[in-house]
Amino acid sequence: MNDHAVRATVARVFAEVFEGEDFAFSDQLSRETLKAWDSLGHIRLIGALEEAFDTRFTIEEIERFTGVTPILVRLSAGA
Amino acid sequence: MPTAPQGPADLPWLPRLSPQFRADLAALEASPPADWGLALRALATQHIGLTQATALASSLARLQQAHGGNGSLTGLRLGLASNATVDFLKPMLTASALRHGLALEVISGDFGQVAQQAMDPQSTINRARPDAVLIAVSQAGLPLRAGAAWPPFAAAPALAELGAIRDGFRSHSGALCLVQNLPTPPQLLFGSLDAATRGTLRAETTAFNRALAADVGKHGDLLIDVEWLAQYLGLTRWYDERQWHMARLPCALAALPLYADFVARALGALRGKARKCLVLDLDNTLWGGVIGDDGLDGIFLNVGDARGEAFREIQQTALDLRSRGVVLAVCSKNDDATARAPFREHPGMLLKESDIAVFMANWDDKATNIERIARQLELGLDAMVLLDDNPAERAQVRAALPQVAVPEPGGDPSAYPAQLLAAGYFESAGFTAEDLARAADYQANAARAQMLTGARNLDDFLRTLQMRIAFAPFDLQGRKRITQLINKTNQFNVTTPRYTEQQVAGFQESAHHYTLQVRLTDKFGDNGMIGVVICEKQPREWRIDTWLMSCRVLNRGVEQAICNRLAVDAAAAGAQRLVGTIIPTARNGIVRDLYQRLGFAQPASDAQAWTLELSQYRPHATWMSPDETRGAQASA
Repeated sequence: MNDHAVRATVARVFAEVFEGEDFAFSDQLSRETLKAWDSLGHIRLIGALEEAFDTRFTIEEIERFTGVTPILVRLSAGA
Repeated sequence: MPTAPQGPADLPWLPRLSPQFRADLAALEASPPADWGLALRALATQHIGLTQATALASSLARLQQAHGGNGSLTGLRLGLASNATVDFLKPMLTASALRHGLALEVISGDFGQVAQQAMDPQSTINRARPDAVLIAVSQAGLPLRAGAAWPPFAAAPALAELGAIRDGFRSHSGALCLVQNLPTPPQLLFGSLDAATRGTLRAETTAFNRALAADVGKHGDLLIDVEWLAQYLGLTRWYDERQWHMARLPCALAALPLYADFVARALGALRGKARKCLVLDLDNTLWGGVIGDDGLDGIFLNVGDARGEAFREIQQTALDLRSRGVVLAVCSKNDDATARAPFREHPGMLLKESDIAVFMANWDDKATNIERIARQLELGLDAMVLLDDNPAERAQVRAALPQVAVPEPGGDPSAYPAQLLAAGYFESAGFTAEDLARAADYQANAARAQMLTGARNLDDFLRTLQMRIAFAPFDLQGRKRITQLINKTNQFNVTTPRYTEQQVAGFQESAHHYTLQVRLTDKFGDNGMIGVVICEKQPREWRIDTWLMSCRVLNRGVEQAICNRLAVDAAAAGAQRLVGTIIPTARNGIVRDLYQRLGFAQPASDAQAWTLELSQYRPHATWMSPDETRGAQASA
C-alpha cells in the first residue's frame, strides 16, 4: 500500500469511528484538537485501524499515537 | 482490500450492514412509522458495530421520549455489575436487545464495585429495582489466585465471593440474576497436565464452572455460558490483553457484538421473545438439488455422499430442535405432491411428514405462506424462523415480514446447522416437561384448524366476505401500481409480459386495446388493485394479451368475475369470442388450467389459443357485488 492509499484508508477509519463529530482529517489532527478522541475513542480507533490494515500495534505504539502523524508514519513504514 | 472470510465475531447469520444504515435510521426518526419499535428492531437486525449500536441506543431513547413508552418493544431494566469497563458494552447491549424485541435500560454501578453494589441495599443498581442483573465478573474480578506458593489458584473462595454477590443482588434488588461463568484461560502452565492438576488456573476454572452450573438452578439464577462463547469464538480472539491492560475491556473489542447478542438473547428468552417455530425450505435446504427438476433419484440425500450427508445433518438439527419443543413447518415453492415425495419415498430422509406441523408447498410467495403457517399454529410472526438457501426469498420475507427471523444460512449446506444454532433464536431460560410435549401440541392444533377450514363450505365463506369488486380502464392515478403489478407478478400471470410505465400509458391511449384494472374490497378492508387485464381488440375477437392477479385474492372467484366482465364488454363491442394463450413459466403453475376452469374451448395443440364463444357464454356465479362508488377514480 502506498502512502496515498494509507492516508486514504486512515481518513476513512477516522470518519467511521468519529462519525457525527465535527472535524476535518489532516496531519495536524490530534487528541487535543478532537474532543471525541478520548481514551475510549482511542481504543475504538485502534481497533478499527488494526482491522483495516490487518495489523497489531504494541502498547507502546498505541500510547505514542497522540495524533494523525505518528499513525501515518507507523502504517507507511510497513503495515 | 480483500475481505476476510466471516468468523463468529461477525455474527454471520445476520445480513451485512447496509451502507444506508445512517440514512435509514434518520428517516425512521424523522417520520416514525406506527410500529416504530418493529422498524428499529429491523434496523438492529444486521451486523452492526459500536458506532451503529450507539446511534441505535440514542434513537431508542428519543423515540421512547417522543412516544411516551416502548411501543411494540418490551421494556426490561438491567443492572450491569462488572469488574470491566462497560462504556462500550452498554450501547452494544441496548442495540442487541432491540434485535430480540426488547427496549433495554441498563444501569451500571461504579467501575470495580461489584461486591459493594451487590451488598449495599442503597447501591445504584439495587435502588433502581431492575428486572434482571447481569453479573459479569471475570477471573480478574474474583479471588481465584490463592497465593504465591503452590497451589497458585483455588476455585472455592471465588465461588464463595460470587455466591455472596448473587445473594446480595437477589435479596436487595429482587431481580433475577444472570451469572456468567468463566472463560477458559488462554495459557497453560505445564501443558496438558494443567487440565488434570488441581491448583492450575485451567483446572480451577473448570471446577469453578462445574460448581456454578450445578448451583445456579437452586437459587433461580440463570447461567450465561461465557465459557462456551469464548471457545466458540476462539480464545485468542476472545482475549485481548492489550485492551485489558489499557482499558479494562471485558473481552476483545471485536468480540463485543457477539457477546452482547449472546446476553441479549437470554434477556429476550426471559421476556418470552424466543422463537418457537422453524420454517424449512426444501430444495437445496433439506436436500441438495431441486426435486421438481432432479427427481427422487437426482437429489443429494445419501450417506456416503458428502453433499448428501451435509443435508442430512440439517435435517438432524431440525429433529433435535423438535425434540426440545421447537415446532417444525415446511414452506416451499413446489407442487404439494412433488414436495412430499421425498418425505414418503426417499430412504435418505431423516425428517418424516409426521414431524412437520404445517406443510405448505404451493406457488404463493413465502411471506404469504409464512403468515398462513403462523395463523394455523396460532403463533405470532415473531415466533417464526425461516431457513432458506435462496437469497431472494430471504430478502422478500425480511422486507415483507420484519418480525420473522431469517438467518443467512452460511455459504455451504455443511455450515447451515451451526449457523442456525449460533444465532440463538431458540434460546430458553428453562426446560420443562411441557416443552417436550409442545411440538406435538402445536401440531395437533394445526391439524384441527386445517380440518375446520376444510369442512367449512367455501361458498358460505365467500358470501360472508362481503366482497365488492371495482372495474375501471387504465387511468393516470392507477398507472404506477399497474406497472408495478405487471413487472412483479410471477404466479398468477398467464403470459408474464413486462411493460414500462410508458407502454402502459400507450395501452391506455390506444384505440385498439381494452384495458382493465380491478380492485377488491371485503369486510376486512380494501385489498387495493388486485388485477390487470389488457386485450388486443380485433374486429371479431379480443385477444387477451395480459391477465394477472395478486395472489392475495386467489380462490375467491375474482377470476370468474373478471371473465364475466370481459365477456360483457367484448360482446358489447361486437366481438364474437375471447382468445387467450398461456405461456408457462417456472412460477405460473397456478394459471395452467385457468382458461379450462373458465369454460374456454381447449386448443387442438399447445401452440394454439383457448377460445370462448361469447354467444354461448353463461356467466359464472360469483359472491361479489359491483362497487360503483369507486370505478374510474380508483387511485393507486
